[in-house]
Amino acid sequence: MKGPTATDGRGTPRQDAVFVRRPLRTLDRAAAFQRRRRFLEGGLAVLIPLALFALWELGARLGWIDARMFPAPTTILRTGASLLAEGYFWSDILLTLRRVLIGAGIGIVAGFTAGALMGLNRTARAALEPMLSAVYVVPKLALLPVFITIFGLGEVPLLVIISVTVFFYIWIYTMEAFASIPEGYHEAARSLDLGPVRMFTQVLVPAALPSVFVALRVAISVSIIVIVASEFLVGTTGVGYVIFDSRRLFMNDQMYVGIVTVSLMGVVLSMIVQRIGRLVTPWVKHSRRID
Amino acid sequence: MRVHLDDVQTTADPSSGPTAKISARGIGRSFGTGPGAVHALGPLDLDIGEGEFVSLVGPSGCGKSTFVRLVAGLLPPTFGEMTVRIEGDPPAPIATVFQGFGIFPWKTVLGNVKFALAAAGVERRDANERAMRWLARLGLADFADAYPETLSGGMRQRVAIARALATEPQILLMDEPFAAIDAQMREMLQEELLTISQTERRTVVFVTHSLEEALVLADRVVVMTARPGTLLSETRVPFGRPRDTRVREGPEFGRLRVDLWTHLRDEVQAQMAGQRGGTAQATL
Repeated sequence: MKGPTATDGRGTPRQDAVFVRRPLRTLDRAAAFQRRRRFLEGGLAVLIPLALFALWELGARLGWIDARMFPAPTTILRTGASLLAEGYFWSDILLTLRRVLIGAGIGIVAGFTAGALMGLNRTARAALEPMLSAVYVVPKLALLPVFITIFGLGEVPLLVIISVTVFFYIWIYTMEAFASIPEGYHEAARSLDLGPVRMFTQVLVPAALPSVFVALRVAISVSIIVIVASEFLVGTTGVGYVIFDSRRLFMNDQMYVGIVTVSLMGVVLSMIVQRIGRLVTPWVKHSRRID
Repeated sequence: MRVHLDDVQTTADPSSGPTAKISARGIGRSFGTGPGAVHALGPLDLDIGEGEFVSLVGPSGCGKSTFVRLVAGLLPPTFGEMTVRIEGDPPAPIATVFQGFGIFPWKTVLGNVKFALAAAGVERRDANERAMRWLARLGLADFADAYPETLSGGMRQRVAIARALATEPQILLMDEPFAAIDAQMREMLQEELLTISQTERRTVVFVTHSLEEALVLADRVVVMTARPGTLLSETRVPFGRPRDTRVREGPEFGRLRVDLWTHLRDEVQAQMAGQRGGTAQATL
């Protein structure tokens, strides 16, 4: 800040510059900018897919694309509504859901058990890790014929393939999580003289849980992929079967209904897992989550 | 943890220093085996009396923390013997405050303290009341339901102290509890620890890098040599009790600090030389 007697180089008095420091309204402006920005981003997120759907609709109606191959979105919606009204489709959805949930349930329990055991016990890890790691890289769908040979046709091979898929994700993340629990937590727990049950349930499991939930979200998405493919390969029911059967019968609108249904199932299941994760690991900061 | 204590109690010679709460005779510890083994501590003789506040200082890697872990029973010694005398059979005779990771991020502040009490077998309703009392005492009452992640380092360490003290241990072990805390908060915590330890005298073993901290808090400062850590010097701190952190302003304090540093400097140099020579392993 210049003094009131400042002069320029020639010694003649000139107008003083006076800087007044007081709070500006920039903070308000920044907040308004943020609001506008959020609004814009939210709007774009909705508008762009809507625009694409509109383009698709227009294209199908005006004959730019073959509406028999790519039925208009409104046609797909209408077909979907009538399929749901008829009721057959519901049973396919429920069957697929049931397969995913039962299969994933078995896979989660088995994967968590194996992961915890191998993460905490070096002998168990040494004994089982090489074998499991080798099987880990095998595409699980390639094992479907084996499961059919063993379990015959029907529900069991489908449940098994989902279980196996989920098992490997949960197992590997859980093992890593348990093995990398900081020594400090072990020591703190031992200094409190915890018994083995408290040690496991109150210290080791919570320490590992955030990673397990990351695995769970991945596993659920992948098991949707696997069930759809498997239902196509061996099934006579389920959403996956509907998709491929519709295509075979050249009922493309019905095929798209199946595809949309599968996507929605994936989104909803993944969201449910995420919500449960937030509920049971409330101490994890949002920024550190993968979402 | 109990196992190690019991082992020692049965082999202890009852005549060796009946007043000593902790009595180490030729105690030592190595890590690893074969040519890669690191001899971290000992042989060390050290008696710590009932109700005494002892500070351990020494260069990095001299086995101070190892000594604390031996007292806590978190590690068994490699050689020598240590007697830890506990009056009666309390469920949680020893509590430890660690530098980091001591409190669990998945439990709230209150949850952390109650957890320790539950592990010590304190009844639920009792535990709640006791936990709240100690949280209030450390100025944490308003944060009882917060998760540790949302607190500053200084407050988190207060949670750890509250948790350790809530179990009302006979021996309190503190392993560089204030090392990761900024200087101002550190002085506040020293003050609080002084007040608490002077209201209810209990045996405290306090590991620190700071000579000043050692002198402010302790009845006796034990300086250890570079690895393997053995006893270098012992200084009885002449300031009476109750005292407060203003003792550091007197001329006597400065003189003591210089004396201690004179002892310690050669050891720190020796430790640095060892590191340059490549023989030093990770800090133990």
